[in-house]
Amino acid sequence: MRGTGPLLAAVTALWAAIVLVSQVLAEPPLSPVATILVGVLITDLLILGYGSTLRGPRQTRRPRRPRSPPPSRSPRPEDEGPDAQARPEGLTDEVVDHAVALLLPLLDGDAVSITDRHRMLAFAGPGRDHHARGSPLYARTRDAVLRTGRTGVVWGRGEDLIGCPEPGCPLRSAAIAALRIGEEIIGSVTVYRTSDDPPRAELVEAAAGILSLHLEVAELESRQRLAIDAELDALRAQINPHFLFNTLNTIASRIRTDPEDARQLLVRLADFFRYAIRQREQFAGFSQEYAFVRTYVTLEQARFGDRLHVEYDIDPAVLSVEVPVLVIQPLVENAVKHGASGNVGRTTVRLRARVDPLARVLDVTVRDDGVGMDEPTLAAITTSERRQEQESSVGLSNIRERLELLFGAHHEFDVRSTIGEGTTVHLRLPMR
Amino acid sequence: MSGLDTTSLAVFGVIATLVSVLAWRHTRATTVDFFLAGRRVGVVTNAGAICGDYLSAASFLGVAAAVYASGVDGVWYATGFAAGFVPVLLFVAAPLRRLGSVSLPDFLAVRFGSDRVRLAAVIAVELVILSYLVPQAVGSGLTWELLVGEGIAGLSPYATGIVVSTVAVSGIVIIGGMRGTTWNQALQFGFLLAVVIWLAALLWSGGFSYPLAVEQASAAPLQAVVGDEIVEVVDRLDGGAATFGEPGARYGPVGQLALLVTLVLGTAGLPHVMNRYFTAASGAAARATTVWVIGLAGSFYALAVMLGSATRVLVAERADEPWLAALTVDGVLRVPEHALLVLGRLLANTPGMAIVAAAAFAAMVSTIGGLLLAASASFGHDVVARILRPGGGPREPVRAGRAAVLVVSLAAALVALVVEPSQLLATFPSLIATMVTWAFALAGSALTPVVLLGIWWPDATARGAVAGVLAGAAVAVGALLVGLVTGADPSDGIGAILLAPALVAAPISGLTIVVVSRLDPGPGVTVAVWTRMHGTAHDRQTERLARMTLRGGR
Repeated sequence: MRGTGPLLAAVTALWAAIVLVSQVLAEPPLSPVATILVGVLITDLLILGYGSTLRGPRQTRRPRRPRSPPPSRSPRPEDEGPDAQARPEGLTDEVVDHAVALLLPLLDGDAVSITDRHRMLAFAGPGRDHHARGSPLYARTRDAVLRTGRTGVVWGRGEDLIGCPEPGCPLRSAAIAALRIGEEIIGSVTVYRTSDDPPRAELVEAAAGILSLHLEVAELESRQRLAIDAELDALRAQINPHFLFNTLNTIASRIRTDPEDARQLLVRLADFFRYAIRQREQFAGFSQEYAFVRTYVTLEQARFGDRLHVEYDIDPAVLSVEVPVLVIQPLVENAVKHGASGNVGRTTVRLRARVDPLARVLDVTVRDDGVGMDEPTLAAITTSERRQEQESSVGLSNIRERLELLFGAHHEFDVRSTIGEGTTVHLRLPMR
Repeated sequence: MSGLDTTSLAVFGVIATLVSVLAWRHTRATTVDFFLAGRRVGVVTNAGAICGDYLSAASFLGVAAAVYASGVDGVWYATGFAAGFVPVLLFVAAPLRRLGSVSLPDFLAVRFGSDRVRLAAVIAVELVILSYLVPQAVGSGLTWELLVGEGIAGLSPYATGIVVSTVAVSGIVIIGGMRGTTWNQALQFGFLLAVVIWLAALLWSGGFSYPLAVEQASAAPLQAVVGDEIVEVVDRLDGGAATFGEPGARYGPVGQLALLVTLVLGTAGLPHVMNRYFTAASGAAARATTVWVIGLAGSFYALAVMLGSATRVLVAERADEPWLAALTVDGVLRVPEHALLVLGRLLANTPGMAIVAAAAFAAMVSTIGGLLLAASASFGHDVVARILRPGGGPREPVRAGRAAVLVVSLAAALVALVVEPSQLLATFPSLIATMVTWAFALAGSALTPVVLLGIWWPDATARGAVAGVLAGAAVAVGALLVGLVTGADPSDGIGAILLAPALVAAPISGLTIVVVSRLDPGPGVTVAVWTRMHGTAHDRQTERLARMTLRGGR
């Protein structure tokens, strides 16, 4: 067990010291019983202190229950609880609270509320105490509004009218308008008055319209996020099958001549797929992506041998930068494919990465000195139109789309190629 | 002033070209792999880069000058600059890297989850950078004065040096050169270390012995030049005449303590040095890097101390040479900052001086570059892109950052021009090192407490952090201004604390953070941030990845 050695040494040294001090140096020598007592006491303390070492390496340690969070004060909530999940995108507690506070002075009423289809979400104005968030909805008219989407007006405190069971409630009339995302009705906006003269329905309807617009935008954003995830899934699913076949063929050809090498290659192939398939996040450290590229290049070099040469020119400062996953490797793969595959001579691929601390951007350049491409081919592999027809186009067009979704105008991605001279892909990403 | 001859100009030019050409060399794959793996090659490269950012004119010219002027009391600068990395090693390096971000303000903003903290930190960072730039400009002025000795367009030689270095470095940074890549900075440091070792080797081969030199220098009372007069330095500890080999030539008891505390606390708050910690591969690698930094910087400073002592003896021995007579009064240098340059010429004639000057400029250029980049990044990205105009285009922060470079370097040059070294030399015998102390005091008072408490105290809140940063900066700036305006005596008592205020300002800042955080109902750290900062899962994953890469690195 690790840690035993140092402890043995420490205990031995301790007893040597005790003997030295109590028996040799002291005059007269300490009695044996006292010496042993003191020695045992100090040894016990030593062992207690060494506990962490005695427990040995991490893997053999018994799994401990996760420690309770270190901050003594209640930490900030990391999510909004189960309710928030069911709620439409953009209708968070802060947003609705902010919205009712904004609407109250605008809408010529005494109180304003926002509800979803079943419960109160936010309320501002008199009656706030019993119309709190999460309280049930009373007005029958609202059920009709939620069903039909037509704006309703009520006045009077009867069972069929405002419907609030609280006797002291000051609300006497209301106008209720529907909130929608597209065609779907997802809740309501209500303006109340403490007099029997109800608020103007058009005004409430206009406010509900503006809120609906906001919700639609939020919904759109969440769809966009889903789209990015889908693009990543697509890339993961379409890891070039030719690469897999080629590598398997290479391995098969070596199993007899060099079984150890073949075994190494299989392990690397497993590493490769593990990384590619397990990426759930959109971003990873450049160091991870770099390791992935190295794995890939090892596999390709097994196939191409001396014909493929890869140079890495990477500032170590780049390694800790967060980059979108599965972006660098497809660039290298593209260079290998278009450089080495059609080339009988030796091909050099260069991967260069630098950070620019002034602009806070990451520059990645992948350059090959292979055969190059003509304009139509270039256009074909970098635009998405032909992705169904040509497997080789998946990489670059997919990357282009994902970067567009992730960074919008904040990135650069360009591909230049000259027949006979090779291809250069340059990527510039903001550092997060 | 001694002039420039063709040989020394040629040597200067060749070295400058060589260093810049070498800096363009590519990082080899193996270096990156070892870097990733946290192995020695990578760790040492990063440590060299940190030293390249850290060692400035203050270290190169200033430490030798301080030792030359005040003997053992000057050694405090060497000790303090190197010891500043001890708190970094023990308390800061690994958690800083593990939480990961791009700059010190960014780190604090993530830790406290607040843009106000970011803004407060940026204010402190810009102040530190400005006060750190001034001594670099003074250093380039003094070097120009000695090496070229002539002004351009009616300016004095000192002013010419400042203008040339400011225009050159800020121009290069703005246009887009000098990105301070790891390899580049490490090389700059390697050059500095090589020059110092070379000087030491020349000394030793000439039969030099450090103990003998100290003995020889301590034989007579320590002297200094004030104006054109030679005066005896008073011993601030025991009274009477001070000697080279005994403490007290410069600081009384309070002064000694204030200086050391200020230097030790300052390093953890230097933005351009701390920014580089984010490039370490893992928390463990960041810690290993710091150990190397302490070793490398420690040996550099030890040699600088020796060279300063050697200069004391050699200048006194050879003061009758005509070129040296112009620089000295009665065998004592008028400007102690000239010590290392003069030593270069004493040991290897004018080419020797040119080599030392090239090293001094390399030190200044790498540090100024690092400082300007940190200034522009924290203004452009932490202020403009995150707070002022979050929706702006991608070019906006870059333009703002360039403007910040221009403003900061102009301000520093102006201050350096206003500061007339010859007037301040009476109060501050080694001016550059003293001015750098002010920057360390600001960093140690405003930033170090919030970094330490932010990392180690989960209950520290955003309001507490803002209050602590502002309180620390205000106390430090106030103390320095009061001290400079009233012309306080920096050697002991109140004056020492006013001119090295971290001794008082850092505890005030820490206390403010604690009190405000206790009163603040706001939340402390989130579990996610705390886990990322102190957990080691990422380190282990990095190691696994590195093993995978190295295995296939054929």
